[in-house]
Amino acid sequence: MLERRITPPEPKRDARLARAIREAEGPAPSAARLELLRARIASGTVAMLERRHERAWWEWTTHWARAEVALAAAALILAAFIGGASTNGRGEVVAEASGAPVDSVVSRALAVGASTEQVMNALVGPANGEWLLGEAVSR
Amino acid sequence: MEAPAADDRELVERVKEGDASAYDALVLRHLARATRIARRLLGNVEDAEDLVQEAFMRALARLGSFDTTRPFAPWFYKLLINTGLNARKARALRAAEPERGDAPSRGASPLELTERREIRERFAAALAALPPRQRLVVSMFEVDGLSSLEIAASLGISPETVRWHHHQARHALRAALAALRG
Repeated sequence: MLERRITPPEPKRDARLARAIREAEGPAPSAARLELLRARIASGTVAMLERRHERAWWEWTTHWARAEVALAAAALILAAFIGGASTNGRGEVVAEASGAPVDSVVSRALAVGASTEQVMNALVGPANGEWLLGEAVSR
Repeated sequence: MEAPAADDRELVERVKEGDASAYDALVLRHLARATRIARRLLGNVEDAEDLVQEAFMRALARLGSFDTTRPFAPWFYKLLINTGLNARKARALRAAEPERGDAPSRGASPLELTERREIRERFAAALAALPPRQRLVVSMFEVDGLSSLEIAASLGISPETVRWHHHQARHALRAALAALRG
């Protein structure tokens, strides 16, 4: 059996009642007043969208900052090893051209067996990126 | 041929991409109705305008998570009404300003003018005596021309409840009008 849900019909509109309500509510806001309100909202809109844009840029920057610094550090280490340095067999890193030991936090940390995570934290701070925000705010 | 005006959905998509002019167009489309609803909720123009501005700003802040497959208007009016109802509770409202100008129409006698004023005042009292939700429903239906479904979505209630509120409000207001004429 087909089940039908009985919904009351849409009531007819009452023009006389509408007129009376309009009169009781008073005149509609003037066009000038609405325009002023629209301008207030538009000003707030621009400010909010700009803030959102800046925040998006900043979040993007903090998101990629760690990866960028890590890559740069890795490239630096690689360049040091391939380009101008070699180990002397005792874990000490020496430069080929000058013969002087390469004195850097990274090489020393790696030489004593520090993990990549420890080296990265020492160089660029912990992984959540809030340190960068904190740095910026403190300035 | 003139290009068709962008619909709400298209405007919302553009706003999500950061287009402030699209939001301005959306505001312009809903501003007058939103202001009328806000004034019904709060009773005076200044509070109503503050409420409309706040609701549009809140809507903008939440637009990122708004599902564009749904219509914008009921979502926005629901936000406006809820914000307004909270404001009513939280704020000590300024006294309603007497902005209703009694501009006499030409040709009306002093007696007719007095009668009209009396009718208007007594009807306004009957309207003000309605519970807020009934007053909103009857005004949105009769004055703003919204359907029961649209009002239901804006108020977060069923269309049947809207029709019940409408019936109750109309009954009370018609009784007030009849008493004035009788």
